[in-house]
Amino acid sequence: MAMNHLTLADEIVVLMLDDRSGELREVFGGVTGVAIAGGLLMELALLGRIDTDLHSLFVVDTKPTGDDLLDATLREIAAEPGRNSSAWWVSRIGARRDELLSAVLARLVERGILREEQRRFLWVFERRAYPQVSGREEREAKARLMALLFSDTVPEPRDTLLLGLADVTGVLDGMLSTEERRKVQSRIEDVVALEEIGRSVGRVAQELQAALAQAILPL
Amino acid sequence: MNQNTQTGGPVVVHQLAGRIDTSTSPAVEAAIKAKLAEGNTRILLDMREVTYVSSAGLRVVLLVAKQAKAANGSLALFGLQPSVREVFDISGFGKIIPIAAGEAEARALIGA
Repeated sequence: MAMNHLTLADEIVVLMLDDRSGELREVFGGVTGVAIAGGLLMELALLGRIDTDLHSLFVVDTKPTGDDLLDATLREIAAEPGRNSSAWWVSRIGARRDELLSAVLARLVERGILREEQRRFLWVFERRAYPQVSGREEREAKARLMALLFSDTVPEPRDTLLLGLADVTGVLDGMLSTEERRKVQSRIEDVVALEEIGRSVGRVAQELQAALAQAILPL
Repeated sequence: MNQNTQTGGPVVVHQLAGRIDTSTSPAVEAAIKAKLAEGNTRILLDMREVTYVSSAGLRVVLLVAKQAKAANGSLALFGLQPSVREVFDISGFGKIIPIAAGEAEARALIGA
């Protein structure tokens, strides 16, 4: 069962899909997992099921949300003995990138927001693409992000969290010119810092990218 | 979590005490929303007795600051204990919402 509105995990996946090809544009797979995990945790926080502080992430209400993916995440956190930091949970849940991404894409197709297409690559290899049906959801999310970036309003928590996810996944770089990005860089940093889970997502994504760079660079 | 409001002149000083977290933040939001609805749009949050603020607590402060701004008012905080101040500093809240050491400074920050 899914919620009426798109969750943050749904929204970031929609934003990461290329408008024309319907293929996912990834910084790299690990960051996609981290972003979806962050979206799930943030949604649970906004629904009052979990809370965080500078030291840990903890369950405050085990009542199911009615969303399969969120409830599985909530059960997993509740079953873990002891408390761990939000960064620990972002890493742990984000490590299941393939499973999370498949689940989010499947529910977006089921809800009629995306359609699934099989495409051939070099006449042999098959790959899936997910073009948007109307594109309305992406346009609305982008409009919220642009309004947040180019104003000095006090941000809505949901938009604050989405901005952090859009930043680590490279979505913002696709939305802004170099000049625009330079103008709003400090606003991005100020807004993303407001949410503890958003900061953890950024930190874990940076660590993954640093580890990847070290692995592929010649010694 | 305890709350108490003092109205004097154009500014409402709303005293908070204890923890601001998932379980107590709805009451904080309701109390401040009620003040805004009464036309009190310049609000100071007296944080001297607040001992803990979670992310849900920070979120509600952000939310009521947004509501105060939407009502052409303003909201500032003062008297944060060191452990609470650390939470606000790491989150960079001071860049969005005025935070002062004492009440007089907080009044000056919102022009009262």
